[in-house]
Amino acid sequence: MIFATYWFIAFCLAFFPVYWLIRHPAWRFGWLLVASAVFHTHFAGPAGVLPIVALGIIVYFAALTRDRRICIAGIVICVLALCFYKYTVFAVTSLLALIHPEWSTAAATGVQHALPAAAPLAISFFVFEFVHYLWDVKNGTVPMRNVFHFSIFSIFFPTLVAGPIKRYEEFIPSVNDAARRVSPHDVAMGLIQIGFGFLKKLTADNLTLYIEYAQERFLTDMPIGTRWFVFGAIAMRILLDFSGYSDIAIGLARMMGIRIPANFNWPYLAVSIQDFWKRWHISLSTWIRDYVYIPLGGNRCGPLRRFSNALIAFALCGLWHGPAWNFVVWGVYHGLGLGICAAYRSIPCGVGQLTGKFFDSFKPAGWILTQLFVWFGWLLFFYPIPKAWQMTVRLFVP
Amino acid sequence: MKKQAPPSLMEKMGRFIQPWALFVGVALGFVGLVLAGRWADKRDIYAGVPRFHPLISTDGSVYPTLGHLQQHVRANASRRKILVLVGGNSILLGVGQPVESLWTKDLQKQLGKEFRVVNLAFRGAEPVEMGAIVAETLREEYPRMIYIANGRVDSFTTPVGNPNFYGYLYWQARAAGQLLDDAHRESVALDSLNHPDEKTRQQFSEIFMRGFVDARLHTSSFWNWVGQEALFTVWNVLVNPPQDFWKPRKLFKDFEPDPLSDPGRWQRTDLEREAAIVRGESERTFKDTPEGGFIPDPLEWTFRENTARSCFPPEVLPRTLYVLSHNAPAIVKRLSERDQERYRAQYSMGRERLARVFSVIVFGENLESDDYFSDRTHFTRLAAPLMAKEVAAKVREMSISLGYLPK
Repeated sequence: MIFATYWFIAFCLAFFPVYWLIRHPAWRFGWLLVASAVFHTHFAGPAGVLPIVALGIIVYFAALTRDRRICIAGIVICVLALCFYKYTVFAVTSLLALIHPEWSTAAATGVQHALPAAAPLAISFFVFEFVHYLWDVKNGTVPMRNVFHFSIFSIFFPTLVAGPIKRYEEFIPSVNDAARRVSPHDVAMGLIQIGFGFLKKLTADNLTLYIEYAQERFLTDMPIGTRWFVFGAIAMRILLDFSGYSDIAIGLARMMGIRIPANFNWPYLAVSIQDFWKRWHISLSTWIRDYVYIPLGGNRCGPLRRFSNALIAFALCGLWHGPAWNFVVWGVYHGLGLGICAAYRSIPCGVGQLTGKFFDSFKPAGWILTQLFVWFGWLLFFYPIPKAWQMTVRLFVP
Repeated sequence: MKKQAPPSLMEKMGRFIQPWALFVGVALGFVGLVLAGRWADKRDIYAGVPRFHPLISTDGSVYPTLGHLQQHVRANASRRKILVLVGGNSILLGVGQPVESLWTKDLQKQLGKEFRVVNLAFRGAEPVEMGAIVAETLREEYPRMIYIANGRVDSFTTPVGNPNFYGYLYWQARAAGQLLDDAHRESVALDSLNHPDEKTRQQFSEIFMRGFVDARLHTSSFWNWVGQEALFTVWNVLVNPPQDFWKPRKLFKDFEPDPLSDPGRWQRTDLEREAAIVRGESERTFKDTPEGGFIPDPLEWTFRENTARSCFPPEVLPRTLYVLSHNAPAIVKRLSERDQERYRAQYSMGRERLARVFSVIVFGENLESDDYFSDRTHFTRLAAPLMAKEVAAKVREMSISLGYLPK
């Protein structure tokens, strides 16, 4: 994890005192921008920075035109760049192989030569923020004329690597406020949140070590009770790992006086799938809602279309996590869950109404069902589909 | 009107936070931890440990610091004695020997009261790592010292060690300013920090800063002390039972089993694979001739000799003993006669070329299968006294020639 490197600690020790000591807003803003550029260059390297700079230039000028067609073209370029760097190998080796295995083998060799060894650092996050920006500008919000505002929105170092995904309408005013004044209370709160974040990461890393050891035995000689323990550990690990990272990012921003909205809100207390997605990786789920689900038609086009929109949106959400089938299936699984959750009250003969009343009056039942659904989903998220299925079976069969 | 979100737990907690009190608390806590680290650094937290078994080494997520290793030596060896500091890898660590039959205990017996043997070997450590760094940094405290290392004839890579495993100790000693001046090593260190490959450069930059932080703030010394004495914070696969991972490491015993209690151990070894490794090693140094024979590759041997020489500061070389150990006969016998001949030639040439750099002994030429663990390199308790005897004889000889003992 980048935040746990000595380089980053040294970077923070050099950055924060100067940031706090600078009183002039423009200079403070400039210092933040320089620091973010140094951070990005250090961890991404020139090969990782150049594609982002190129995309950034396109997005910046596309937005300035405020022309719908140019903004859409900018969005298409960003999405194509993401697909090129992150999904080409998957498309060639998995999708093309389904149609024509021989072409797939030939194309895979060519693709390996054409692509860099690794995708540019955090390209998924960059693209999601750029798409948000261009889409909002296309729909009439005011673009960022100030190139420095656009630059800091793009490469703000605390959220650069793993989010939360920012919204420029909230972020830029917060940066401007912070450039004028940082309160000791903000610094203290940021420090505490970073502390919690590292504590969560420490626990998550320990769970990772344990899971790596236990997953080898999961399908063989492990007692059922221990399997359920590992199952719980897998669910806790992803929550602690990801929310720990978000806490550190949000805490770092808060130490500069910049407010980033919370990314997790006790998701394992959710009492329905909808509730879960309002609490889990909030910046991603709201992004998917605003820039995939609603543009597809959202709730506006009848139950069947609504259901298929949810499936498409969540399949893309799954694919965003990584180029593999298990992520797609995990996304579809959640899309189905959301669809069922939204529609079950319409089951005829009063069954739906009765079930709804039961869950409304007895919240723990909804909570248990939701958590089991989500936790089983993590098996799909972390393991290839056959292994996830085998693990699910072995939770019940000795 | 937009509904306002209820305050989060953090926000509710924030109402009770007094920022300046928190800052003062954090600053005092930091200073307190640094002082605690300094205090911990001066303690032998591994008291009574005859070797660094897996749960107190990198395998067990423990990274002994320079301060702790130095204290361990100080606690075990009076300055009036001749210090025999054993470094090197798992062979000298005694993998394959239960702790009560450890070869360094036999070595101590063989050498007698005039000498003090301390085992600072670690699994997979290179000759220039761990024990070598401690020996170099204690050179003035222990003017009468012999450093023992081991490895193959091609074990010398870089004088700054492997950044993924044990190289950290070099950077710690460098940051503490305790190493001898060595222009070649320093140029390798600087080259590493400016490595053209980005990932490698970042790796070295991390280990450089880690060394600096450990040398100045003693953070690792503090955590090693906490982990050894009070509470371990990292889960590790080697802890048995797994749920005891948090228990202090001082509670765990050296659990090296006796391989001789398992007579079927060789049946589980892939002898062909091991033999292929042995064959490959000798083929790299002795090339085939058109007449069907083989000759030493002069460039390769010169390179190895020079690399071995440049891995250590010149002052250290005269008091370094290098142990070249033979592979298990069960594996060597699987080679063709010609390959066996080439294998023996490689050892003979290795002894000759490395002896130009430091003292060398070759051990294990006439051992039996039961002298070996179930692999090609590690010795059982049966070989331990034999190795101790040969090493002790060489140590005595070196002690006389270095003037530690009267002729």
